[in-house]
Amino acid sequence: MAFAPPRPSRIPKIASPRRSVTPGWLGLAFVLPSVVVFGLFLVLPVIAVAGISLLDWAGFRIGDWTFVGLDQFRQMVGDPVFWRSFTNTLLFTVVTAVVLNIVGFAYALLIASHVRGSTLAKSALFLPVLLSPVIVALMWTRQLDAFGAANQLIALFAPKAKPTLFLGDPDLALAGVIVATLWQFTGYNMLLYYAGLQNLPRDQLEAASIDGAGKGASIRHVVVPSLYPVIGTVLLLNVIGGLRVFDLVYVMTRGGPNRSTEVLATYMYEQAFKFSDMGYASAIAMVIVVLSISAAVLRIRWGSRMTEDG
Amino acid sequence: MANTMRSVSTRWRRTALLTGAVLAASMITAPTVGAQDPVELEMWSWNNEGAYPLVHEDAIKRFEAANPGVTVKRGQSNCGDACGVTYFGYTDYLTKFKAATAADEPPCIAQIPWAGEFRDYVNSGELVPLTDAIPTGFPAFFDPIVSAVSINGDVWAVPLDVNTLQIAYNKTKFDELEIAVPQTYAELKAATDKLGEQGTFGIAMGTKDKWSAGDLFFAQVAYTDGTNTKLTQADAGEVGWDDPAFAQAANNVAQMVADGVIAPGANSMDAFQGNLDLFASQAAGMMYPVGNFVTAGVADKVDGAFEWSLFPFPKPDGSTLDNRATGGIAEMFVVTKDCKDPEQAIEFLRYLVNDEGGAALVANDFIPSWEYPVPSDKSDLYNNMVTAQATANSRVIYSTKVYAELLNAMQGLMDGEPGSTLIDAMVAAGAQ
Repeated sequence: MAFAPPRPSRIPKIASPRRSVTPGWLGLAFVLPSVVVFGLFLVLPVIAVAGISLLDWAGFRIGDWTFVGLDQFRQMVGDPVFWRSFTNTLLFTVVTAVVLNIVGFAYALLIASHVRGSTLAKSALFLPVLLSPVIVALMWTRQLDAFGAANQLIALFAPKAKPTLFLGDPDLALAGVIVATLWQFTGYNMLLYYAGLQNLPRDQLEAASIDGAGKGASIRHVVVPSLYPVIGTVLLLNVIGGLRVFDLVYVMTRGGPNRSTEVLATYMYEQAFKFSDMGYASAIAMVIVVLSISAAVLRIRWGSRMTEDG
Repeated sequence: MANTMRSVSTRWRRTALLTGAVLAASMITAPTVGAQDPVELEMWSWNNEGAYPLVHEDAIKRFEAANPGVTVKRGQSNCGDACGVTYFGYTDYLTKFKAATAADEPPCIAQIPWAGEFRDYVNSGELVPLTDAIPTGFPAFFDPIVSAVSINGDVWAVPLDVNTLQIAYNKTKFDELEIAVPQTYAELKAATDKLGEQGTFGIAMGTKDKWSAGDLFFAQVAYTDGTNTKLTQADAGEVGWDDPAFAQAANNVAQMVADGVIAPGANSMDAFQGNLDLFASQAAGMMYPVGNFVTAGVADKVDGAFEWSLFPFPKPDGSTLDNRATGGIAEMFVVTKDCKDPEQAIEFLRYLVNDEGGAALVANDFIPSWEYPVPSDKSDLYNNMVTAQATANSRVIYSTKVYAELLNAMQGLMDGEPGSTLIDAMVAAGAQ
């Protein structure tokens, strides 16, 4: 018996491929909290909002609603205020996303070059990100009023000019809100690009340098292509942030003057809490959701194409 | 054995009977015990400025003293640790109130705006009708005020006080420049021109938060509709929002803006911040709208730098009507349907508007919403407001969509758009 060959069960088994790739119950247990939180606080509310967009509901009593199908969306098509807020939202989103990315990237390059004072600049530029948008809005409201910094600056060059009331002028109010947004979030983009710059392929940069590429050419042909995944993510974050902007607009202009800064989120708020029209407000919310998801899908497709192109 | 069984059965029956008796007794006594439990009423308001918290607190103290075991929940306020109900800024108030109502957890007693939201809450069945309570222990409110808080034949709110909206003017500057109080629009424009020669703006308005722009329109409707009924009729669909009375009022406002009577930048200023700064710093000679709800704030800011007083918005040129203010209910309170102790809430409202309540209002320069004698030592300003109240015209549109578009379009007029844009916006909103 002592020389008996070991029993087959004692022979060490080679793990089956199936076992090595599936996480099993332990793996599921690890992801479950995230799935539950995601489902409860994101998927379910979106489904609920989609459902409410098909109802005529004042929002007071749960059972006190009428099913109206797609009527809210039909109403939306003929609603000039919706289209105004839609256009303003897109304009705000495009302008802020483009400028935030260009300026944020420029700041990141400046800081990555480690010129004197770059550490201080990094902190100073990131500081506004830490402030509440409400504080930023109040601050910029003051800066853009008749006695604010903007008019004092104008007075330096045109002492006799009447004060420009940026937020009271329908042609300038949205620009005022955009400036406040850019001031607050440029540092955020800068930090993301700065993190991306830390992972640049040094060998390619050195090769470009040996081949005689100047700084501009290196940025264009090495840095930017290497940052495509970062650019895609930052753009997506900016676009989604722009589509759902509310606080800065609400505090700075309340959507005025005369709807000139009305965006989808402020219009949705008005419908829900002033007009007690939860159905229509939910329909507007669905437009924001669809636009955000579309932006995310575009980002994913763009990312895939970049990966395929190498 | 049979005896033993009978004995056990009897014991069980006795136990069951005893248990039943105890349960029954506890059910009978439960309401008595419940009535002795402490009751806490929650009350919300957005008026934590001026002297309103003092008036609220005065009523709370008297009510709590007379009703041991019943308290009003204390919230944050600006008048001391032991003072005040739960206050939220107006910007957030309706959002919070709506969310609390939807969650079936509204406060028992809530301040509510006098306009469209009030109607929405009534129609949604969220409020307790007060029709049966009003005849007992409440004063005889002014008839137009009772009408304003009545919907579908029931009374739904207790009006605390009324206000008038007039133009505040820098009396010292007017005297210096020998400007008489304007009685007509031509005189108002002449006064503005004279102020302008001294580098001073005319009427400072803050229309960024919109509502005060609506009041400029209502001040004109008070003259273009001499009957003071068109707003109510339009709300009911009996006349159109393009009625000549409204069109003329819109044109009057557009003319005022074109004539420079309104200080520039109204849309970039909040009412009672930017415009009050202009008035208090004497950069503007007048300010609109000013009522008893803000006179304390104006006095604080002016701080004795100059004398000021009030006059009703002057009538348009050619009008044969007497000059008149606009006005209506200032604060009004409702009892919510989800309140666990509506009777106690109604009882508290009685304390808010009884004789002592009236005295507290008058002592703090508010005008009670019922006939109340004015003490001889009250200021000229207070007497001015009480006098203006007698002729004050309505400033209410109940249709929230029409009202919202009126306010937005008024911002357009402040930026120089023609009066017709306002009428178009109101007609379109009315058709929705």
